[in-house]
Amino acid sequence: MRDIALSLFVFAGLLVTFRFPFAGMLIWVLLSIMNPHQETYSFAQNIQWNLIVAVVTIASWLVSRERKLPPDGFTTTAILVLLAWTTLNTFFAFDPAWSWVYWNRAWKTVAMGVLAGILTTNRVRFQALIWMVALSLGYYGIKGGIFTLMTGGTNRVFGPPDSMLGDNNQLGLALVMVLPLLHFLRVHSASRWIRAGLLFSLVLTLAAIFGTYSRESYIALGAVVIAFWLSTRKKLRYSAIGALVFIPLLMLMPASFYERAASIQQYNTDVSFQSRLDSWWVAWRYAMDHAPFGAGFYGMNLQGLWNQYIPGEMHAAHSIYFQVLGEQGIVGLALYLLVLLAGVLRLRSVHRETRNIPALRWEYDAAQALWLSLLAFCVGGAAAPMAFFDLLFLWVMLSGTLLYIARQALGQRRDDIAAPDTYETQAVELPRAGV
Amino acid sequence: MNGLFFLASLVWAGVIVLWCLRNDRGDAAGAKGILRLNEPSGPKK
Repeated sequence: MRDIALSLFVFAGLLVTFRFPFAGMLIWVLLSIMNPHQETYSFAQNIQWNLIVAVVTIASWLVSRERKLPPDGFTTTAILVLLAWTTLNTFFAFDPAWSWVYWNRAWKTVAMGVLAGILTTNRVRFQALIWMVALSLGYYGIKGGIFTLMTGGTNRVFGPPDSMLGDNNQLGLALVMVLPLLHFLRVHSASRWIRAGLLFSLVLTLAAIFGTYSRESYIALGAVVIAFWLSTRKKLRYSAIGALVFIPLLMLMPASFYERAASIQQYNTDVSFQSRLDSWWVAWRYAMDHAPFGAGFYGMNLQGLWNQYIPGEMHAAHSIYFQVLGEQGIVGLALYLLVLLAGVLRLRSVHRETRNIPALRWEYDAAQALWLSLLAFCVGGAAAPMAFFDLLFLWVMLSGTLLYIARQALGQRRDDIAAPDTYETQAVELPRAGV
Repeated sequence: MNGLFFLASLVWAGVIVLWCLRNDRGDAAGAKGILRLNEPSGPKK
């Protein structure tokens, strides 16, 4: 049943894509982030939906009259140079045959982000894209939240297998990243039912984050909550709402949850944390020994590499920064940080230019939501191996697009402000001339 | 129940695509339909 439903959905979506390429973009985002084919049981699991939708979307975009270049050249160039470097680096990887498999995933992730930046030409498309990401991750937030509440938080929440969200840490971080989007959509939706549904999803997603037992997600959640509270003008109101939501949820969680959270402070004796230190050290050593190149995509997950430094041990990188350093070398890390910085700077520009303009509240809040989501990624990612997560490239490209949309709105607003003055002057002066 | 939730998610994804198709090239503030915004945004038309 699920297989047939997914097939019909994608087939119908592809028909729309021939006429409207952005529809393909939305479906591509859904397939990449939600991985609905991993929730099916039969033939749909083995079809490369992403590839089919990507090819049709790119083809229909190329023959359409849609914009062919992104509005923000700098962020696009930074991302494409990073992709070019990772391609070159894969030739010098520890095991190129192993890394090319993951490179094949990475380029599609980057392509999706870049194409989203090009095709998101107006507010409606931006809003729809945010909705699709919120749906893709909210699906696991709602499911995980219900599971956490029904089991009293005693079992861990995991994502779909064979995907970037399969691990509890990575799912937890992705769910923290979607919280600001759910809040943004709730604030800007007109329908009372939609707003209630989004609030419900927000609370369940929060429960799911607790249920992942992921310490980096708790730290990322703390960072997002503090940054949001510092930026909002309604501090008292949100403090009260936060207390109403957090306290019952925390009271529901079992003792094992508190033990897990408290182990953050015992980093010097915690085995998991010590293994992370080992993986960071190996990443650093490999990058220094093979500068400027790294071990290639997921090269840090190879036993042969670890045997050169700590024989017999092997752990995942468990940090986006050390993962990129170990896998893509020192140049790759510099380019990766440049991409992150480009996104953050674009969002700060939108903030600065739209602050205190009520008519541009949507742009300001959209920038705030993307910024909080990126903040969660940067903070939580310090201890999670998801450097090439789809949302990073999507957010960086959309930050440039949002700045473009905001500046267009600002220019239009200036024209609107200037125009009535002109008419007023004419209206006043013409009768005088007549007199 | 899980299956229904999965189907509902696909339906909602369809609603998002159709909403975007219907309101494309417009200002989000002027967009109609279930996903419309609740406050004015951007320049006045």
